[in-house]
Amino acid sequence: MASSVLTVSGLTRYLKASLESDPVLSSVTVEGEIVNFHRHTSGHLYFSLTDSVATIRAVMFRARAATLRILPASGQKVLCTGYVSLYEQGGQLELYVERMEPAGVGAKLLELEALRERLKAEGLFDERRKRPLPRLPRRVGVITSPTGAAIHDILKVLRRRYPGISVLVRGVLVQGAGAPRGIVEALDLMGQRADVDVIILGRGGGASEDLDAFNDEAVVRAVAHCPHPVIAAVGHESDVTLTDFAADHRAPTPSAAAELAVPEREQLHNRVHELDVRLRRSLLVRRRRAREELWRLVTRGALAHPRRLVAPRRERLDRLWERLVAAVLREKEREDWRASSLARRLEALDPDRVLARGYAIVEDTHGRAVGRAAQARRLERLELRFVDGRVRARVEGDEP
Amino acid sequence: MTYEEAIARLEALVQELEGGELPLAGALERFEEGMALVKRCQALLDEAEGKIEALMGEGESLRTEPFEPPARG
Repeated sequence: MASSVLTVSGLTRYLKASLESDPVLSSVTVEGEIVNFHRHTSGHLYFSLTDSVATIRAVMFRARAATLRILPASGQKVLCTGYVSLYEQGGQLELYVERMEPAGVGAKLLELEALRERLKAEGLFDERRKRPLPRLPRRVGVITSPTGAAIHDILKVLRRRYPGISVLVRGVLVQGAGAPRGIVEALDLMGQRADVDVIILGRGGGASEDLDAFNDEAVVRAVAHCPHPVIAAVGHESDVTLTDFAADHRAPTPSAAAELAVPEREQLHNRVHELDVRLRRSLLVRRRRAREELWRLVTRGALAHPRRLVAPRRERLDRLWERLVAAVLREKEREDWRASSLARRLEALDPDRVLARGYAIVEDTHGRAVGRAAQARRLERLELRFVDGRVRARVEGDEP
Repeated sequence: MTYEEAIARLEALVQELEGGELPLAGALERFEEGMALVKRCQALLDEAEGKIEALMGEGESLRTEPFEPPARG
């Protein structure tokens, strides 16, 4: 290609096109110190980035600059993300900055962003992983600083809403180097408790703004994999942590988390009462319907004209009636005969009837019957009872 | 039976009864079951023991102790 001659603009166009199609240069993040900072009246920002060995010119257009949360100035260390291209008129290579963050904090944010992307790709933050909260937890697990305001607020709200609630607290450090290990262990221990139905993971509250522990990968994974639903009360409204993403539910404050964790007992009682009322009413409605059905049957169907229903059976009924009457009469006769024969037999046994036939009864002087000779031998006096009166007698001895 | 299970079953029964599709005998059966569940739910709501405990130690020294929340300062 040595033979071909390019114009200057041809060359710069070619360079520009090459740069802009390069996969690395089309989206790159550069760390450096701002020098020669200048804000043009148009609103565009012009400056250079340097690292003491090399320098590159940079520009940030007004629309992008408007999104800046920091006020750039010469001497600041920053992270700039954008693309590299060529400014054709000046023949200069420039970094076209789209985002700018302070370095240090910025680097940490990038790392966090990378972790967030990685965990998100794994599905740890998926909505379908989120578990519903129990309607009435048997026990609420609370993982937070045991001395902060958070635990105080959480217990106050839990007891107010549900006076009989049981709580298991695991005190942990919520900041510092040991914090992630303690939180992971607490989640693990709570996870093993079968009687804990929901867990509140809260920051200590108070002065600290250090949320690093709740962006720790091990903590985030432990929250996502905890067997019980987790309510995170960690971040601020503006400052969401990865733990908030991984938790089943998020609350802006520890008190709000406690409100999510337990229902108001009063409301549950009301709900049971409502179901009780509906249950009773539904049965009344069902019974009324059954009565109406029966009534319809009575007024419209065969039961409305019972004679029509009965007529074909009437004759048979009459015959049955006659047979029944006859049977009862026969039975009565039989009873009568049985009764009279019994009377006759009783009559035969009546002592007066025996005396009437000419017999006498031997009695002692007290009127007790003497039925045997052996009895009579032991007595001196006897009395003989005839049908028409009594006669005294003396015992003289055995049969002559 | 937990409160969750009892209230869920109760809700299902009430809906079934309110649907009005049941024969009278079936309705009566469900009504009786429902009344038993109402009593169960009320008992469960009132029986919570209200223990506030702390999970202390780790490994073999793991134990629960009564927890006294700090005075707010």
